[in-house]
Amino acid sequence: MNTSELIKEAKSGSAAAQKYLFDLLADKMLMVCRRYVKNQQDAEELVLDGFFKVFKNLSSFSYQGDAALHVWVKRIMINECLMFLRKKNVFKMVTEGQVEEIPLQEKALDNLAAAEIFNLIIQLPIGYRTIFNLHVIKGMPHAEIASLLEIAEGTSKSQLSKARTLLQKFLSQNHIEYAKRKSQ
Amino acid sequence: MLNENPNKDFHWKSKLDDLESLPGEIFNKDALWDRLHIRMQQKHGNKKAAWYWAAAACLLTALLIPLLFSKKNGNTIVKSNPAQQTIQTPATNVLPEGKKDSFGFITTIAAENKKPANLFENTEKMIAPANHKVLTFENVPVKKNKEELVEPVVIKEAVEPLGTNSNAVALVPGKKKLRVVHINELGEPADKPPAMTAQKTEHHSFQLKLANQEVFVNPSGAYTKTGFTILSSKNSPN
Repeated sequence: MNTSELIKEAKSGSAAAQKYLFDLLADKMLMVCRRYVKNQQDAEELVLDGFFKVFKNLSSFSYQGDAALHVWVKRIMINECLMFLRKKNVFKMVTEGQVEEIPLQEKALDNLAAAEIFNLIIQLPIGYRTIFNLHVIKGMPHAEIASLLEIAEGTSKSQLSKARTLLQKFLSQNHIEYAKRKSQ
Repeated sequence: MLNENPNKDFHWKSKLDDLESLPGEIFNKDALWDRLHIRMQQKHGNKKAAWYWAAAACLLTALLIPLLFSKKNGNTIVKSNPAQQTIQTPATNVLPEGKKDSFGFITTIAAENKKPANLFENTEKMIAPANHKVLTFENVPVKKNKEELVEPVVIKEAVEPLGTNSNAVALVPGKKKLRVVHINELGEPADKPPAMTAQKTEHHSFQLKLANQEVFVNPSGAYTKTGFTILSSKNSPN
């Protein structure tokens, strides 16, 4: 059964098809949620809420390929994460003056494994991490992030700048450790 | 991905997207699915329950509406005695002095209920007002003894009230003074039989003008055997 038929079955209320879809997407969606929410249990709850919304609104989704399905489900998960963070009121960020920015060497990230990149990102403070995820990984412009998180656009930019600097520091440490390990 | 930066030079983002699990971390997917499934079923059940409640409410309303209406209509039914009674009192005041030995009764119909007008709200027919008086003349032998006339004669189904199908009960208080109805007030349409006059031979006749006809009572005292007077009429010059 291909994904299109699977979605049709899930739309008609087939529990088996819904479970198959869940199994197909749950792992990746858990990782997406964990990039925003560090805690595993919180992330699992958000996956649960997100899939509940996915199946509730599946009738409004028109299948146009696997990539579109992934994007749609991922967007729902990210929205759930942002709602969760907003409820916790973690976005009390203030615009700070220009900080010394160290450019992020993305080539260095390429050399890392996915899990290592993930571990570096989740070490960032929650505000930095959220804006880094939204702007660098999701590709959302600062204006949109500002309206979504109800913060000033400048705040979003400064938070991103700090996130890059911190991440570069982590990378440097990681690189030193990696070099040490390699030399041993 | 559509929304993500189309940065082709670096692969770390796609690597991050493809990440499905972290080494050493266990994700119990089946337990999460069970919880999700239970939640979805609960939601479905709640929806069903809401529909059942709505249907039950509609049914109850549909049952109650006729019940309420029937109660309302039930108020219009006049509480009545099984035997409809009409009390007739002798029309001794109606006729002039000296004619009281003639026959004739005033039938008074009164409902027991103090608000009779409300009782007939829904009837389309003309309603007889309370204490409606109908003058009737019947072939009843006149009793000359006034003492005997004090007791009203009770007859059943004597006179039907005008246009009512209700069981209005006529009970007249004994001491209530009856309104004097002069015979000349009883103008009836011309098509009705001129049964509203009464006379006796030894008394003077009286005259009714009905429509364009003048009705005269025969002064010669042409009583029929049934007690009704013979009336003669002629066209009025006016």
